[in-house]
Amino acid sequence: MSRDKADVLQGTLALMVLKTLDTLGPLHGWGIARRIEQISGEMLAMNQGTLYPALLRLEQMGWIRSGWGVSENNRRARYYSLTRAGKKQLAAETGNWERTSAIMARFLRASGQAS
Amino acid sequence: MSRLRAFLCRLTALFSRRRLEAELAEEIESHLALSIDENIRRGMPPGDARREALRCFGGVEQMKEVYRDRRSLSFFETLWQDLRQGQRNLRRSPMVWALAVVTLAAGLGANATVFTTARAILSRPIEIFDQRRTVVLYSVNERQGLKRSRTSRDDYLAWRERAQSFDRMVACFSTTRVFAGQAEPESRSVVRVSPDYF
Repeated sequence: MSRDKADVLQGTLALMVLKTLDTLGPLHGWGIARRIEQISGEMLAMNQGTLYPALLRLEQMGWIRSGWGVSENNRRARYYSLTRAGKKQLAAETGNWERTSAIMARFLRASGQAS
Repeated sequence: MSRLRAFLCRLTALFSRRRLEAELAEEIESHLALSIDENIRRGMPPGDARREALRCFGGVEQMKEVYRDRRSLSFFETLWQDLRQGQRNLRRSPMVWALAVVTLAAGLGANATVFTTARAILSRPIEIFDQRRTVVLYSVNERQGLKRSRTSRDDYLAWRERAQSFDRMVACFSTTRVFAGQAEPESRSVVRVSPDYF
């Protein structure tokens, strides 16, 4: 579709999932997908399906866990929640991301001044 | 630690394929149902609501493929399936099975024969001298008390020219040499010989 929509990088998606579960508590895949779309202001070009391999990976790493439950409108759904290891991972990843984006921001400004 | 955990998860997933596959299908259904509910609540007719839900989800089959690859160790999964497939095929056609065994056996046998023969012929030690008819000559250095001393080149040439009891006479000189290349230099003992040695 539009070129302005960013493709979701694997690592960023994982971080967004962890942050969502940290903020909203246990949530099913569709809820996580909607939350990410809403927060990003529909800027991300993401097939909701790509979320599931990412969730699987996070669960294998032990950062989230899942169990079947019932949604508010009576649909059976698989709920994901953050584990303690996941909270730690979220803190570490957040730090990493902030450092990286700070460096990039400074770098891009600096090259503007140099020309 | 997490990586080890992930590996173990994928390993155990090998043994519960059917259950995990059913869970995956159910999870996708549940996702679409939630999505359709939401679209209907926003006023879409049911047909459009489903189409829109599928569009947002993206390719279901592609997603399942990616998911399966990640879920278990796909290499072992396919290997296991191939082995079972092979076993079924063999049981269905025992003649092919027998033929395969005979072919392999013949191949192995031929290989073994060729290599044994080649080895017997090629790696036999090269006999330069008939040891029963070979003697070693030395000079004697009385001043230094050496019974087996070196011989000068001129002496050797003179001996060779005049000796009548020998088929031939060759000169040998053992020493050590240092071999240096890309690896660690090594000291090896070597024997220098006159050209008629061989």
